[in-house]
Amino acid sequence: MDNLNEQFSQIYDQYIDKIYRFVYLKVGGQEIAEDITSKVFTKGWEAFQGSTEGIKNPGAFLYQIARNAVVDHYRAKDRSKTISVDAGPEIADPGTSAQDKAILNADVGLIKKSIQKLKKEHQDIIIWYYLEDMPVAQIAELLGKPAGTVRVMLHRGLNDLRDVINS
Amino acid sequence: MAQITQKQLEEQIKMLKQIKPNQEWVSLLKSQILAEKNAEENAISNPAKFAGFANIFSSAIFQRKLAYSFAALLMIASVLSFGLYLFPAGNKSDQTASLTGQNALKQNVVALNANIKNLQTSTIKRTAAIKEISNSVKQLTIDLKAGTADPSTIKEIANGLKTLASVQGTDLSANSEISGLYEIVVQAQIADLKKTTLTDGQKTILAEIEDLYAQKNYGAALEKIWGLANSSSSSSESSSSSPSSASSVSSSLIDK
Repeated sequence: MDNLNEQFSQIYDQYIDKIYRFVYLKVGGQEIAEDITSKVFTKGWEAFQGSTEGIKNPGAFLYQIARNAVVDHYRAKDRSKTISVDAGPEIADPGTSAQDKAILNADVGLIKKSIQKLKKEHQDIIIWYYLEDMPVAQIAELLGKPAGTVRVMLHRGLNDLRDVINS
Repeated sequence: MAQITQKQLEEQIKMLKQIKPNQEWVSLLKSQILAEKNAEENAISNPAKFAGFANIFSSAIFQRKLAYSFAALLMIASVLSFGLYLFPAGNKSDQTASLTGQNALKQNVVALNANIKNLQTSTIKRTAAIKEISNSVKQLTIDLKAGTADPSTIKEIANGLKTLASVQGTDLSANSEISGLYEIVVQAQIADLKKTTLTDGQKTILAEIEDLYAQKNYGAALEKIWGLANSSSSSSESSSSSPSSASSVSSSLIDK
């Protein structure tokens, strides 16, 4: 049992920054990103404990949970029809960390906001390819699409991102 | 304003790597997640000590998971109760489960009910009970796949999944066992809808449901099915000369 604990601890250390960053860029707020990320790893830990054969690709598994969790977040947000703090695009959330504020004040803040305007799959591909240095083949496996399709989607995503920024 | 080039864009994207979580939060989360297992191990050897842990870990996440598991078990239990048939009495396409299959399902429910009691009385066995629940759900899925599912059974499961979704509030596709049940239910519901007379609007929604099913987005597909049933129900209540299509869809999909 301690072995399970240790194994998942290593997985946690390896992926916590990646998953957090992935979620943060899609939801745009620290508090929500932390909430969703905690749910991702809680679910991941449950699955890890319950798995008899072990999880072969923990990274892919965690990213899939994260993608679904973000979808659920937006679905719940639509249902509640309340305006969240994150909906205020120009003013920093008072709960935002110093890091958040620094980012919001930099050019990279524009990139962050622009990425959120892309199609979800384009967001994912850009984040994985440029920020997590994930090869196209691995991204293709995550999305269940051919590598060629992923390359096209990456190209289109970048074009759309550039259009958003330049507009 | 100067237009950004591809190279500049890629460089700015890579700058997003500086986004990192708060390290205190990272450590706290890790200890919370991994300490749960340690708390359960300690509780088994020292029940008095566990009482304190039980208070500490009564967070919203754990309460939601308890509700999720309990709702999943209620859903399974309701499969064996002979509820309303999915279709009106005139539809003769139903098939009833064999006695052998029903006995197997009953045994599953007995085992599940025992786990429900474990879950209710003690959070110590929560993780083990959840594991047993997953195994039972997996077995139920196998049983359903092995034979033609009784429409009333499918309907009970669909209602249970609806309750489960409202309690859990999250996508269940991460749980592979529950996802298997979703797939069966959505597949059956699509087949039923295709046999029903639909308005043009309803046909459009059905096409969207089929797309979601093809994408294995069973949770979203089922939500649209519920929405279709609800909207049909409302339209059949408000209209004095209700079209046969609206009433037939609503009566086939929702409880009365």
